[in-house]
Amino acid sequence: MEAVSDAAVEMKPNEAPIDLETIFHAQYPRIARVIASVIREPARAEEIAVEVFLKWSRNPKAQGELAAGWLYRVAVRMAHNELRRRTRRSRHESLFDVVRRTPTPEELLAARQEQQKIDVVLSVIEPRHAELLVLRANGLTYDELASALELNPASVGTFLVRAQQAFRKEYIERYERGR
Amino acid sequence: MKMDDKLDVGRWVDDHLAARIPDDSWEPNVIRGLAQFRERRGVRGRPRRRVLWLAFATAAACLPLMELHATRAFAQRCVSACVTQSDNLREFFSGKGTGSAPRLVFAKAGDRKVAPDFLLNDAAGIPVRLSEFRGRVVLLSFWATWCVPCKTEIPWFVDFHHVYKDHGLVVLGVSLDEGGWNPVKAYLDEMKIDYRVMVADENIARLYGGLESIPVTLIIDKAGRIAVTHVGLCPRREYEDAIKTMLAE
Repeated sequence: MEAVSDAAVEMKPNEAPIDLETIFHAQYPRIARVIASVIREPARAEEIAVEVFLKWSRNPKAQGELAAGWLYRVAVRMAHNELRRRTRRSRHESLFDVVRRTPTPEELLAARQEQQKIDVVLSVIEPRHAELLVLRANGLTYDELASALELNPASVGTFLVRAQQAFRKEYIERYERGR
Repeated sequence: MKMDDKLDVGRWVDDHLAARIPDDSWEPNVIRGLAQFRERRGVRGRPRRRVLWLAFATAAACLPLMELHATRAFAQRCVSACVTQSDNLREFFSGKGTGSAPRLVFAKAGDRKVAPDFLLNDAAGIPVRLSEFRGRVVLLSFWATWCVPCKTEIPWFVDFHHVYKDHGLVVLGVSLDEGGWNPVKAYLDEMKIDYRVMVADENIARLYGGLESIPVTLIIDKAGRIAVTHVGLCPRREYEDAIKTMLAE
């Protein structure tokens, strides 16, 4: 008894029609992990990843050979937007907190936690730098980075160094200056 | 602390960002994500379904008009325009295209056919005869280096090979690449495939019914009979459940 799913390709190399769900299967875990590395909340990362794929499914130009690059680009942008929204919100909330009451020692300790510092730094440096650093940290090669962020492959290294320096500079200015 | 060295800055940033990478123990739930993806694509598809219903209703309403000579030409045009939607309507009524997950279908024990035997050399040049594996469950995968869905499922098969080999599973891959071993050996290294892989000769496709589309995955029972034949990609869970079922038989 034979079952046939849509995710099969005819025996014609380089002419293989790929359906959306095959790409979903192949890319969803990596896309969700990239988003989770930015927002640090797996459940929300999965929701945003589905949003990314919905956008992609409605954009025929994004489908085809460049699908992976498009998915990474949109994923990291949506994740970064979410992170910036959260950072803004928490900044406003903390302002009101100062007016309302004195933070507890636990809250002060939590505020000092390393990941929260990185949240802030990633949300204030140039979005393109943040996107590049996050994708690189997720193990994308230079070629994949070039495809995802529409960069000249020969310039990826230079961009990466600039992004790293911008990150480091912002971090030091915010958290290490005057120590 | 001042760091002028680009390399040190790079390492420093890498160290800071490394902690953000999700733990390997967290695996995004692809099946749940796919269900949401389908559901939300379906919501967007509702207006299209409404159009289909409208086309169907218009065609039905025009049929009586064909009885009258004066309105027959007009009615025929309406009906023919609506009939162009018939393929979509048929798919709609038959439930095809609604995005149900592909599932493996088991042949009943009495209906299973014996898997055609073959003798091929693996990457190390060691002959592999399919019938040697009687008494064990065999997952036989037909694939090619250029096949994108194959690239998705191969890591699953590598995992199955590691997890279930001691429980009686044998994973075999048969490449249908026309370029022979050169592209295949490079691909084995790239994908870290450590189960046994052979390159098909001209008889294999004929033995297995043509193999016009790939991937094709067969699960062969301990008696050497084909229990499952699946063309295309299936959720990993489906394959894993099938393997467990077959090992328990």
